[in-house]
Formats: sequence, C-alpha cells, structure tokens
Amino acid sequence: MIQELVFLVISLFVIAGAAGVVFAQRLFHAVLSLALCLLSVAAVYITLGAEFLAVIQVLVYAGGVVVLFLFAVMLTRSDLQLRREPLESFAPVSAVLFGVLVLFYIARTGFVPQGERALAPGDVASVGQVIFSPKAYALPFELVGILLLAAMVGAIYLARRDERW
Amino acid sequence: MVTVYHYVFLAAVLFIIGAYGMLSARNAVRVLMSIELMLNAANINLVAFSSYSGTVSGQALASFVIAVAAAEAGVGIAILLVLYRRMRSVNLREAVSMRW
Repeated sequence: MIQELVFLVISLFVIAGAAGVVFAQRLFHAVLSLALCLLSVAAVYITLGAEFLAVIQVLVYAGGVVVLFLFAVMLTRSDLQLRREPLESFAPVSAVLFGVLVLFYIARTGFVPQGERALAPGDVASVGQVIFSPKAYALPFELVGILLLAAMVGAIYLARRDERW
Repeated sequence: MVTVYHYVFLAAVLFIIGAYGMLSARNAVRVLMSIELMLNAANINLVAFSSYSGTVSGQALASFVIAVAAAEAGVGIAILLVLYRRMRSVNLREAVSMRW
C-alpha cells in the first residue's frame, strides 16, 4: 500500500515537472520545472533500487545540465522568452494520436518480468562490475569517454568568439 | 503492488509530454529541454526492466544514455549560441536559411 502511494506521489511530481517544462509561460520557470522533473526521476530510480543511477542523475542533470540550460536562457535574451500558442495544429493532434497508440499497445503487451521487483536495492558493486568488465561494457564506457571529449572540443570550437581560428 | 507496467506507463506519459513540447515549442531552448525529457523517459524504461528482471545491464546502459544526453545538451547549446549570435533570435521558425 505504502509503495503504491510513494510511486503515485513521485509520478505526480515527474509529470508536473514535465508539464511545467512544456507549458510554463516564462522560459526561466520552465528550466526550474526541468530541475524538479529530473530530481523526481532520481527518486524514481531510488524506488527501483538503482541508487547509483540516482546519484548520477542528481550530479549530472541537476548539477550540470540544468545549469547549462540556465546559461542558455541568460545568454539568449529575446522576445521569445514568453510562451506563445503554437500556430500549427499538427503538434497537439500528432502527440495525442501517438500517446493513444503507445498507451494502447503498452496495455496490450504482456511484459515478461511480472510480479515483484527482482533486484536487491543498493547493488552498486555489481553495476560497477558490469560497466568495467571487458566482457560486458568496458569498450562502450571508453567510447563514451571519447564522445564526451569530442563533444567538449566541438562545443568550445562552436562557441568561440574569435572568428579567425 | 507496483509492477513494471506502472513504470512503463509513467515513462510513456513523460515521453508523450516531451514529444509534444518538442513539436510545439518555438524557442530552441525549450526544444532541447523537451528532448531531455524524452531521454529520461527512455532511461526510466531501461532501469525499470533491469530492476524487475534482476540484471544490472540496463543500469549500465542508462548511465551511458545520461552521458550522451549531457554531450548532446552541451553541443546543442553551443549551436544555439552561434544561431543567436548570427540572427539575434532563437526562434526556430525564423531559422530557415538551411531549409530546402
């Protein structure tokens, strides 16, 4: 009973934050709603027993990405800070159609892992073993490092002031 | 009892809100934030299936998704700043110079 209640409250926070991102009038408030949504997703990870990912989520998203978006809002002053209604009607129509389709097929699908949660909470050691073992995800882990380096170099190159080099 | 269906439904709702935001927003910053919402929905699915099936591979994949999302946000905001410097605007409806 208490589990359902906790899940319901956290889901409400996630969806309220997401709705704030899309529907908030001011862009600054949308960024704050994004922070709320991402922290609530970290809470969802904790209810799933993935504490490691919850910590990563708070560090990377709430600490890094949200600050990046705040910088973007501050650096791009424009009259478009306020939300205006979309001109095209295709966006709500296609989103509603897509949502009906997805929810219908989720309700029809019989997912294999049924019943209670199988993973013990707080199993950080096995996550580390999976990520760093050469048979599993060691190579993708290194590739992600190269990708982050390339993204950093590319972002610095794009955002430079000087046009000469 | 909270089953995997609950989490999949939550992720689907989050993804739909993100998709609507990405399609309807005119400000490029809001589009990037909606993409982050959709990536988080995918992450919730990965972690939920990993947790309910008793393997941790999904958590490793979700951490890679977080890293790629951070890289995407960084490069996306750099492109957005260049766009703003050229056009004095982040309105995506005005950025038509590369449109076919």
